[in-house]
Amino acid sequence: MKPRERVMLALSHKEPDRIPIDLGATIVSSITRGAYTALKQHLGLPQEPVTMLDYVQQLPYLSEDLLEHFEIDFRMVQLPAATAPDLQLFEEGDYYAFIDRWGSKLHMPKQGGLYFDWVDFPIKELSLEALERYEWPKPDPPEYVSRLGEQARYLYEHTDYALVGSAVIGGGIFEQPARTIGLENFLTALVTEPKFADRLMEQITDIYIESCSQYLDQVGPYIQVFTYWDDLSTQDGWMIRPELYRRMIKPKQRRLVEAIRRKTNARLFFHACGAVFDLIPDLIDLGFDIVNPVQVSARGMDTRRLKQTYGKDIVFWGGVDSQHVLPFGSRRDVEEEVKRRIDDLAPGGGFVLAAVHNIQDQVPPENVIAMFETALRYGKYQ
Amino acid sequence: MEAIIQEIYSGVIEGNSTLVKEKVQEALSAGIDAQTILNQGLIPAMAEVGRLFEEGEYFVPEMLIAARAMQGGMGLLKPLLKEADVKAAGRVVIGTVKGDLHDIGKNLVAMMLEGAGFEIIDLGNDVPPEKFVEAARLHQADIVAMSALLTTTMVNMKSTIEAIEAAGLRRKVKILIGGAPVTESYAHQIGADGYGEDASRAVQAAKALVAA
Repeated sequence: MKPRERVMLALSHKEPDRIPIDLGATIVSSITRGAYTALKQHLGLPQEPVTMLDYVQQLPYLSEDLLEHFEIDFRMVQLPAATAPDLQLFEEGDYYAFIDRWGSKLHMPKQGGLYFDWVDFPIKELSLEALERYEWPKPDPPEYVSRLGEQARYLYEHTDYALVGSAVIGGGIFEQPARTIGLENFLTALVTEPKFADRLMEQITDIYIESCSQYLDQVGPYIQVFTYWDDLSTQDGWMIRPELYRRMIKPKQRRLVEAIRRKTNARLFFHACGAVFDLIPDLIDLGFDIVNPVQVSARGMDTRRLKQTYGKDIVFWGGVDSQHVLPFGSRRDVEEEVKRRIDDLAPGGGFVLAAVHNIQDQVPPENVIAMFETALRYGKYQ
Repeated sequence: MEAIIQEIYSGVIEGNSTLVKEKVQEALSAGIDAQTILNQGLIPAMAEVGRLFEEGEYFVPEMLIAARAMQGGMGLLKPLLKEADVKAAGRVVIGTVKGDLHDIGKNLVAMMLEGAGFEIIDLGNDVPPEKFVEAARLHQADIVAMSALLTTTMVNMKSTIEAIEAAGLRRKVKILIGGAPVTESYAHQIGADGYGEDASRAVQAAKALVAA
């Protein structure tokens, strides 16, 4: 069976020949630079210079030979994530630094740093006037988007892979404000300065609608999956009161989903880390087809219960524990983890296997190999 | 409890920073001493906020807002408490470990500890082992509290504990850890004395550590 056909069956809650497998279809199911280099070396694949796709998370563009090696069913068609289009790295004391397209500053420790994190924010004052003065980021230029369109068409016509894209040029509608004014400020503002928080999120939604619409005009006909991400939860449950989410954030997500739906028939993928059991009905209601990364180590994220409760209405994408098993488990632990998630989530289709979020630097290559080999061997239907 | 203390207590729970500051000032002017305001107003209020959070009635925003209101009142009390030589519940040196820039969890823990009457020395984020050691020695800390969000930086908790041992301070301080990938068994494995699953439980763990 060809990958695209396999994926489409699985996403339609039907059983293909085997479960589809993802590595690097999204910037939340890929592998970090160090782990990638070690893995390729371990597999004896040629080590060409690494190009970065996502500086923040230190994700490289993955080489075709690696994706073929693990029979990955997906390929990514995507704008570089959350980074300035012409990224200027500089040094600041003990840190590497850059300013993202939103005007926020990020740091990565020179020593032992594995990611960039937001440390300074362009909007300092929680007022509507500050939003007036703020220079909002622009979507990518049309010539860049049309290049992506050509790339998508080529991949669609000349390969059999399922294609995945996104044009959310920052964090989600809930996450991006935290990267623009700071997380604590934003969480506080949601309650104490609701007008300001609302306006900030509406503007971000407008930008995403513009960016996604332009992107989908070019890329929309060729992709099978369109991704959106918004972390609303902690590992224990909702980060904010669910009623607050439904009143202030969900309507904006709906507005974005409606705009995306006008442009593409692709299945909609929602990435939300943490304990999202109680968020899933909202995602289904919004029209999302897929939930990722299924953080199995978070509270209430029992995969059997998830499948029983929501399996008919949503596809689970992810599921292989990356917080305890992949980095610290044995090969045997990884095999058992993969089998368990397949047993729980694969019946009847509706499951794409991937690590819970990006595979991190410290994960031994043996464990990555065990994960994909077990998935290929054990993930056959019948 | 006096009516004004009750107002301070409710003000913190409701997260009304302006009201808390106003009422603390009023209470002080009425001759109520700082320690009473702290012990009967601010501390019980933050304990209630912790309880509401644990029970799922409060979420992170409500907790932050309440903590800021508490800090508003605390700012007025601190110099007076110092003057009266009131002992804190314990002295805590806190930070995120080397390589980790994620600090909201650490900040919440620090605020909740402060609200429980602990004195906080916040070293910020990306704190190398030697800085924890230096601060623990300088401030004669009772507790060193470390936070990590990442599986990749969590290992630096172990090297910090080793550095504390090497400096001969291990018997003098208790070590409390927490953060997304951290578990009770990891705490045990690396020889930490306590583990806080969330900000509210971290306070309970810290109290148990100083009582031990």
